[in-house]
Amino acid sequence: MSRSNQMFGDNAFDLLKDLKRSAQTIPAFDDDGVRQVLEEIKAIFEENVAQASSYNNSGDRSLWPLLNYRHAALQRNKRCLLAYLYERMQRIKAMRWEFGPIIPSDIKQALCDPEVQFFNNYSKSLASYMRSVGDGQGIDLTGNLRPPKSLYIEVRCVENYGKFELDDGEVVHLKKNSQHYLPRAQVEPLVRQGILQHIA
Amino acid sequence: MSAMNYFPNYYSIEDIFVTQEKVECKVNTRLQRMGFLDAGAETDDLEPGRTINLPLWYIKELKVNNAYFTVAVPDIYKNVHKAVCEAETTHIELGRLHPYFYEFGRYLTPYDRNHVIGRIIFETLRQRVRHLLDISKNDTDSKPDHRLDNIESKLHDAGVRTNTLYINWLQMSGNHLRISELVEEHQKKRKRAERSDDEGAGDPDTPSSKKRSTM
Amino acid sequence: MDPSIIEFIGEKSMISIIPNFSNEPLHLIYGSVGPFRAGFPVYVPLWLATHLRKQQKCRIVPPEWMDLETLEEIKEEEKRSKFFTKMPSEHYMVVAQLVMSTAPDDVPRCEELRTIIKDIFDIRESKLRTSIDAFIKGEGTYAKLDNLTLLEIHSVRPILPYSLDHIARYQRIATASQRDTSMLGLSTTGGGGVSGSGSGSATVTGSMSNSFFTQ
Repeated sequence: MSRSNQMFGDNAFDLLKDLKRSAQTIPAFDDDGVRQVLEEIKAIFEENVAQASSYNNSGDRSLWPLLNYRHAALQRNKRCLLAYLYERMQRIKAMRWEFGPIIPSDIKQALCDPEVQFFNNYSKSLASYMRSVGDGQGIDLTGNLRPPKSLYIEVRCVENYGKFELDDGEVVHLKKNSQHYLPRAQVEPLVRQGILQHIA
Repeated sequence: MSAMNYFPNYYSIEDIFVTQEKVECKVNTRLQRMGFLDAGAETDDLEPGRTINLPLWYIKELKVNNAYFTVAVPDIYKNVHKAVCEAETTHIELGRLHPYFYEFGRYLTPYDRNHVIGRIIFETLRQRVRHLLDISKNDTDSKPDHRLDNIESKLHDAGVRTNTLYINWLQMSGNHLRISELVEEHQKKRKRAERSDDEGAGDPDTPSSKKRSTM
Repeated sequence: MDPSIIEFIGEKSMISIIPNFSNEPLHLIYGSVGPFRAGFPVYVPLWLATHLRKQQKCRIVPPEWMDLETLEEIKEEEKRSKFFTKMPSEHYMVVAQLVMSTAPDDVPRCEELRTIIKDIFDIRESKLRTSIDAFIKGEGTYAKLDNLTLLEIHSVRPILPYSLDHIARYQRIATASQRDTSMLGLSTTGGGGVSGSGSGSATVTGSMSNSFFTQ
């Protein structure tokens, strides 16, 4: 790459540009991009090792600035790469709170295998923590994000959902555009998932 | 998702964006085999006297008085100096001057031999906070992008969010259950993808939806 | 803080109701209310009052200050005074909002009251922004904001503490870069640090401490 306008670190930066462009979702994991950055890191490292050993033999310092520059580039690549993984991890965590334990398949396809693994583990940890608090009864920490004003709320169905069984055994048919008066606590997840709409 | 204030750390994407910015530097001494940094170089080496653009992430690793390069501080800071002294910074289109006016300036402060940049960014923000409070209260939907730098625009967002919550509360709709932000975004994206599938044109920005349609 | 949470806190204030039923005292987690005797006033928390009112089980007795003449005086005093005057209730906005929306029939001249309370809030809010501006531009290191209510404090959060965080960061940079020159025109204060709004900002910053950061 030596003579092109492409600088060291540009590939790694592109990974982050991709993330920043789609701030509200998660773009597909860029396998190729990540591999290219890893290769660049490896190449820089090997060149630097070779030069460092030739310096040990000759004592010639004239290549120090280059060594310095390449070392900074290596660190830069590493930072971009880790920031890429870290930011994705934050978004995956946020998804557990917003989507619940099951994420839509098209989003799941944007994750790489270790990320899917991470999501599952995170989801499990959160679930077992939520079961353990509240005097053994468990508390759904993803619900009741604001103080509830009433036990029942009026909702409208945004899409055909089918049968929905309430805690007392009553079954409601959630058909598109139908309206219902239902227990807030039980329908909150459906509102959060965009199946029901809370109306005044 | 709760918003946090900006304290850049190692993983901060914003800070990585700031440090990607290029700075003009003068080469002070022959640097062997570093000619690739200079698009107009005729040899493998970087020649003294040449002016090149280097990314901030490299510059900040060097000592301020290093023997290789002299950092040329961009004029944008000098240009606002007068406005700062006259306390007339409110109308400056900061975003147009530089998208990371404050943070970029923060990094360049040590290289400024006149010792004014630090003072300029400090005073500029100090003078503009009132304006930020006012506009985030008043124009809720039109975001004056070119007028604000990145830091300001984040502050503006925080102010608008507070104001929207307050207005919703006054209208007694603050307690309504709402669809999750991410779910809503995902639904919008899905609808966009479906629409573009209907038209037979794929959306290049959504690789995940393309994958889905090929399954 | 979300206004709906401030409302939740404010709902604990006591208010007088006249029930149209008789009942034994209710033993609640936070204490007991009642007994209720039809036609006799009793003090209950606001949340219970609005709940019973919605079911037509009581009439709400508006607090004494919810009176046109009293509020007119408060408004004039607020306009005259340089400082924030003491409000008749720490949660005057919440109480007004809830009582007037659930029981407009129980409040004489409800619409006029609504307007004047909104006026008072607006006067105080613009006073708050003016004093913030004076504080930021001045050399003071802390501001005394007695008598501000919870909702009012949160009308400038988190944008204000965030802004102060940034100003403090740039102030440090400015001070550091000028340390070796004689142009030190900055007041360097060693005082206590201020963190964000408790939203998890890791770094404690700032030489500006301010009474309203402590919740």
